[in-house]
Amino acid sequence: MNARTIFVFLVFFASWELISRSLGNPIFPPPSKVFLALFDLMLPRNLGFLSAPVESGKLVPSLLNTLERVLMGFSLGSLAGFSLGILNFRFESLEKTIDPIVKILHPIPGVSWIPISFLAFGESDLAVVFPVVIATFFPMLVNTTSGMKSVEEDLILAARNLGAKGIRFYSHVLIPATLPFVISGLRISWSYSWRTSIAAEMVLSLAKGGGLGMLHLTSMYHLDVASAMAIMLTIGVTGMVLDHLVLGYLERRTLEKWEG
Amino acid sequence: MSNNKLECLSVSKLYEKNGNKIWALKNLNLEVKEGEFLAIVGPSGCGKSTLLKLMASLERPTEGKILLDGKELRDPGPERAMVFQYFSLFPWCTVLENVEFGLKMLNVEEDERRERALHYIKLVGLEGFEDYYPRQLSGGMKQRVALARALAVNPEVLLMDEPFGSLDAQTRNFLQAELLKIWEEEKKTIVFVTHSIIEAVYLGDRVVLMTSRPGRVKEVFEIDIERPRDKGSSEFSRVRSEILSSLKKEVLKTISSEYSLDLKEIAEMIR
Ligand SMILES: Nc1ncnc2c1ncn2[C@@H]1O[C@H](COP(=O)(O)OP(=O)(O)O)[C@@H](O)[C@H]1O
Ligand SMILES: [Mg+2]
Repeated sequence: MNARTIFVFLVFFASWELISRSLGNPIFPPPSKVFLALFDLMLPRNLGFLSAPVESGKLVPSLLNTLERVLMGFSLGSLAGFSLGILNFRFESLEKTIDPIVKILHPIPGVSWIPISFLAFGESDLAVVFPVVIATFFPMLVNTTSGMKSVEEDLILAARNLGAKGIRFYSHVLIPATLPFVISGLRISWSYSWRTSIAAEMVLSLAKGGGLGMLHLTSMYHLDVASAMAIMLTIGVTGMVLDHLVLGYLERRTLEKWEG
Repeated sequence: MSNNKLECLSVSKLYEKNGNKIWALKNLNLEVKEGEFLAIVGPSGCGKSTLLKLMASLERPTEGKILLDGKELRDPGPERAMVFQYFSLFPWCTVLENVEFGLKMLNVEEDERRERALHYIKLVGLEGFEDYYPRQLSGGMKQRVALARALAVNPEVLLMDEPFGSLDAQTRNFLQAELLKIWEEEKKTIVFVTHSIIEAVYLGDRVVLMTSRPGRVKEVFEIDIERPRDKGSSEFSRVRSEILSSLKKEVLKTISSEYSLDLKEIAEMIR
């Protein structure tokens, strides 16, 4: 973050604060209230900044619930997509067979699977995990498949010439060669699955307790826009941390070897 | 038994792509002698790379067979190591890891692996670059790594596919001389494909000229010029122009076939 960004941030918050205070409309709370709501949501003791005090201190448990579901769906979905991508490389006829099906299913957003998921899994966590798996699976499959296809023929021949075969051909050549594609697949999948899990939590009531999605919706029921915004901020920051800091770090580490 | 290291016995290779059938090679017969430096030239698309891939068993001949020390070849093996035109280094491996790769696949112990890899890195003059990644190296350096990687598995035959084709003239001349030195020291059999006749005459004990597609051996030239050869000598240019005039005829055929006309058709059109 450079000085200019910080300056723009400050100007943005200052004008927001001023305009909001002069309007005095509760559906447009000033940032100061959003931050106070954020603290109230985070801290275990009710600080009295929320119109729905039941939400006080709920942010962290909700975040953990959401993370648990999304990470489970994300790992399952990406592992499955990656594995099928490898099988697609190994068996060309498999790829040809499933390609049209994949092309149709791929554009269906994960959230479209929520109703079916609810009917199938009811109030269990799986009702969220399932659409997340789907949202993760297809980008991962498509990226892995095209990544494996784009590995240079001569690179594969060089590896085989040097005796790489069987499982070691995959572990020592094909998978490392595809890594940049796999990581960008992970990043796309992550952004899909994060959105999907929040959306699913907003419409499902879950036995284990809601996540950020449900907390967000509840605050809107109470017309508590400040805490709704605080939750949106949390959703944005968490998504960014996992994408930019975790996956982005992996990507930079890998790509720096490839092309600098 | 003969002193032939490799023998191609009426080797043909058919490629089928989108229903098109292309005979890359047809009835090719060729012997490579033990310890020989054999250079192969031919018009582009005549099947030179295909021939090397067959020799490395990275592809199977459609017809005919290839013998190594009199035994028919089936699977790739470390006794035939290949060097590719565009280096084909593993970009996720350092120089050292690239050179160690084949040894790792042969399950050579880590200490010995390292020692041998370092030996060949030194041999190709890349000492000090062990921890560099391929992207940090120039084309000439990459090709040295590829050469070290191939030599490290201690092959009997080196198969080189236009290895210096993408390098600048200076680097190229330098590496040619280096390669000859390594060949003399390491006593390998080398099959060296090039599109440069000068390079072929400079390097080869014999120069094989291939026909345009489908590739066969058109003519074999013994190069009796003593090493180190002087590319400017009159003897050198005499041999060179002899090969060149033979190649020219083949190139003309290639050009006409690219417009899907063969010479007979052209002759008919002129008449
Ligand atoms: N994998 C392949 N599939 C289809 N055709 C191929 C394949 N590899 C080579 N060919 C064709 O075979 C011919 C010979 O190719 P190649 O051996 O690469 O020629 P050269 O190395 O002499 O330029 C070319 O016409 C090329 O298009
Ligand atoms: Mg070629």
